[in-house]
Amino acid sequence: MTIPDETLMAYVDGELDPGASADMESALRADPALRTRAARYRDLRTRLESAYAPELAEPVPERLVTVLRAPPRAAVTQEARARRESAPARRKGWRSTGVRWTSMAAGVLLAVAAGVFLWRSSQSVMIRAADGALVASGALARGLSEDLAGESAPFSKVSIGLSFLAKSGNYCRTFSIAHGAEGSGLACRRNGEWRIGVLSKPEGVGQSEGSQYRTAGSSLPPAVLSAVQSQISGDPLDRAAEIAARGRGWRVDP
Amino acid sequence: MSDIISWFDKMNGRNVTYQASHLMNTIGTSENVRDQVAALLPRLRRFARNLTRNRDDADDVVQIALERALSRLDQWRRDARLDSWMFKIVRNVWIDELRSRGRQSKIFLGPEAGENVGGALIERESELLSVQAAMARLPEDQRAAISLVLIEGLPYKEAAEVLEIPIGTLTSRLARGREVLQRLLEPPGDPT
Repeated sequence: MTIPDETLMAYVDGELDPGASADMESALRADPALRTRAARYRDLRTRLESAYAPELAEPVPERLVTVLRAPPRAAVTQEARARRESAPARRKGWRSTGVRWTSMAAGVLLAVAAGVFLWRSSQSVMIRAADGALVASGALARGLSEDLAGESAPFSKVSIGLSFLAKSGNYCRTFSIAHGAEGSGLACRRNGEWRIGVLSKPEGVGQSEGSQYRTAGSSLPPAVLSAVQSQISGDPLDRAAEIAARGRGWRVDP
Repeated sequence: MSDIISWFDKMNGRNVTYQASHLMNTIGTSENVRDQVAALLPRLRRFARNLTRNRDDADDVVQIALERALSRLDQWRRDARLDSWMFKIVRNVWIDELRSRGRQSKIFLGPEAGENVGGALIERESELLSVQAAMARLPEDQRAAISLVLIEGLPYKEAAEVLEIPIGTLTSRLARGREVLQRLLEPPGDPT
């Protein structure tokens, strides 16, 4: 029996109902060629996810945050004004402030580069790039594999916020790095590595109000929270589930 | 957001199960939709970049979409996913913009296509470039479908609603888009 591409993709995307999904699994067990096809779809998905993950860690331009802070009426006025201004010469109106935004974008890139530089220079390399993805290494990889949430080892720079099973079927954990090179992120276990999906430097979070007293979890930036919300499947792991998952090397399959 | 943050605080105190359900309720019913939208900003920007293939255009689109969303918050149904609703507004803003640009859009998109790279974060940039350059070469309808399902992780049903197309159309765009991407990204002669 030939299985159409679209059905196989729907299986890989988790879109088949349980019955069809079980049928597909027995078909996969019986047919190596089908397994290869499924693996190609899965690889592509993983590759896209990793290639686009770092964008979530970029600081959001202030002008976008400002829109959300504006009182509702002002927001309406702003859009109305934008329409008015751009109506006679739409293209020009849209682009007229382009210079400012371009320089802002450069600033954003610099900030990201600086953040990574700080992380890299912090004693040991905690993050490396492999196959277009960011992968935890050194103390970060150790913390992700061994520490329980909220119970980091003494003197550890890494603390784990929470662990959960993602919709993708992998275990994911949020982490924060403290002391000197601050930052937070989300890492998911794939092929024996912790792939970093989101990486964010806390932007001025509590800098003037004693950030060293904040707990690891509370300074998780919106990018990380947003990623957790979109990826979590069910509830976060409790302590027992974390210990069990750690015992299996964070592999989902038995 | 403060609710969510306090949830993370408590997480460290291991008050897990209760707080998790509390978070889910908070997401569904909080008065403070603005905070929830703020948390979506990185994803909205990423989606807009995939639509526009241009960083500046993407942020312009997101900005207008935010203003539009805030003026229409009453139209958002609480049982609907906020991210889908926002993605849809982002896409509609971009469609409006393309319409008003008319034929000029081609001049705009050409040279900058595919430059929207996460950038300095990555050492092996060539690898990343190839993924994003390949995406930029997809036809617009396939790129939007791939972007929503494979990158933003929306279920088919949600993605079809964002794009205002039947699920069958969505899956065929996904299939064609995947085929193109695999051809572009896999080394020639890969035995499959």
